[in-house]
Order: sequence, then structure tokens, then C-alpha cells
Amino acid sequence: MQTKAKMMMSWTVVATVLGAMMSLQYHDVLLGGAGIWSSSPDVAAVNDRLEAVTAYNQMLSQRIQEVQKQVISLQNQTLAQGGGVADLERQLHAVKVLAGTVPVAGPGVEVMIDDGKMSSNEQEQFITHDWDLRSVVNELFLAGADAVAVNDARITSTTGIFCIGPVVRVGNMRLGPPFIIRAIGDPKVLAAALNFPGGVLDALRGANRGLAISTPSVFRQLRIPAYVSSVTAANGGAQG
Amino acid sequence: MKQFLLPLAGLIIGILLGLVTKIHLPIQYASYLSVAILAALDTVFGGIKSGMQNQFDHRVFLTGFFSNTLLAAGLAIVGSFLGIDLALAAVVAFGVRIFNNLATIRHLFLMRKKIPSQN
Repeated sequence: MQTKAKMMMSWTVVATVLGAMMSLQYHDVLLGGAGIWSSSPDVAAVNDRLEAVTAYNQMLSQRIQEVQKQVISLQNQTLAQGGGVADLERQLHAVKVLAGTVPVAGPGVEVMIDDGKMSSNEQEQFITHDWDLRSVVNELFLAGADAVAVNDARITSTTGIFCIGPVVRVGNMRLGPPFIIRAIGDPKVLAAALNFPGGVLDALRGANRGLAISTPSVFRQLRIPAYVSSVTAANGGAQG
Repeated sequence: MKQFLLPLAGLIIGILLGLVTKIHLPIQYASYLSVAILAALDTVFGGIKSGMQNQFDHRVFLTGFFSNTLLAAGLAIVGSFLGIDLALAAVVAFGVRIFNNLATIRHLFLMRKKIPSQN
């Protein structure tokens, strides 16, 4: 009896340890290395720093929005008071609309471009590229648009549009399909410019790339957000 | 039957323990753990074999389990310092032993069917 109990105990101990070892290994294999790497002190430290910088950036962006709201309300007060300062403010506002630092509302058009259905071997052909967006944006500006935005990215004089892998970078935003391009200006002129036979949208539709392009819709009141600047921490995010 | 229940419960507890805990071995130690698991499996099959031969000794079994496991992992670590892939040697050696043990277990199992209770 005594030996049987001891035998049972030893089997239990061995089975427990073996099970723990095997499941530990299985867990790590299942994670495919991700879990293993994340416990590496280097990766963890960099991750922590990235999170800290992102949180700090978010806080700063919120602060910028608050301050901008204050500035706008103060400017509205000045406008209401009238006089020479009001004239200057009006000029300033017009310049700001062109610079893209203030949100704009007004009549305009909206057009949506979406990727075509992919067949795996010809993916390149069917995705929306940077030059597609660029040509539409350029056409809209040429037609006299005051403000243009792709999704939430306001186009300013310093906004670049370029492909990064599967997404398109517009200014400091990375955008994925569908791309909704909004423009504020004379809606008739803008819509006509887009619908021009053989024009930019026709060229995109006719390229046999399967892109889904909506007909430009005219809106009486369209809102375009202000340019949101990237908050880049100058010294790597260290707060001093 | 009853003598299998506690080890089985231990096995399940061990597996759950390994799955639930968020401990992850750094990637450079993964191969050592796999060698240790192989050594442990070898000892377990050896234990089953000796149990069927009525030669089971819990002291031999317990010390064998832990010393084999630690020695296998330790040798693999030493080998990695010396530039010799002793982990591979352990895989081959323990692999052969495991299959030998399995074959013996199978033979014992078949023999037992033929000759009931030899005691």
C-alpha cells in the first residue's frame, strides 16, 4: 500500500511538471514568436515609449483643438465689433481658408473612389493609387475649389499625396479605401469639371481597372475639416 | 483505475497552469525547453515500461525525471556555448530511447494478453 501511494504521488508530480512544460512550449509555438518577442526587454521598452509618445501626441492635438476653438470665438467677437480690425480679420479668414487651417462649410461636390475587386495576380491594377487621387484633387483645384479634402485629410499647399504600400498617405494621414473627395466651391463648375467627357473621372472609369467611382454629388452645405498638423515630438517624446 | 485519476488530474492542472500563466520563455531558450520536454517524455515512457515489468521504483523514477530533464537542457546550453549543437544530439538520443521504450511497452502489452498474470 505504502509503495503504491508513493508511486501514485510520483506519477502525479511528474505528470504535472510535464503538462506544464508542454503547454508552456505549445503556448509559445502557437503565438508564433509574437509573445516570445514581446517579453524581450528591448521590444517592451520601445513599445512603452511608442505608447507614451502616442498618448502625449493625442493630448497635444486635443489641446490644439481647444485653443483653435478659443481663437475662432475671439475672432468672431472681433468681427461682430466691426471697424478696421474686422476688415483685417476678414482678410485673415480668407487666407486661412486657402491655407487650410480652419474648417470650411459651404456648397460643394463629393465623389467617392473605391478599389476594384482584386484578383490575386493583378492586385496592382485594381487598387486606387496616389496619382488617381492626385489627378482628381488637381482637377478640383483647377476648377476653382476653395478647399479640398480626401476623407478627413484637408489638402493644403504643403500636402503631399503618395502611396505607402497598400494605403495612400495624404499629408500626415494614412488613408485606405474608399476615398471620399470633397471640395467646396461653385458646385456646378466643380461637378462639370469632374464630369467632363474624357476628363479625369472618365479616364479612371475607362482604364478597365474595376475602380468603383460614384457620380459626383452636389451638396448645398458641405463641411470640410481643418488641416490637422502632425504633432511630432522634437526630442523623441521625452517631456522636459 | 483509481491510481490513474490523480496523475491525470495533475496532468490537466499542469496543462492549464502552462496555458493560463502569461510567462513566456525568451526565444533563445525555446530549444532548451523542447529538449527538456523530450527527456521528460523519455523518463515517463521508461516509467510506464518499468511499471509493466513490475520494476517500478518511485525514487529512481522521480530522480530520473528531474535529473534527465535538467541535464538535457543543461547539456544543450553548454553545447550552445561551445558551438556544438548538443540539442540535436539529445533529440536523436532521446528519440531513439522513446521509440525503444514504446516498442518494449507494446511487446509487454501483447505478452500480457497472451500469458495472463505472471506475478
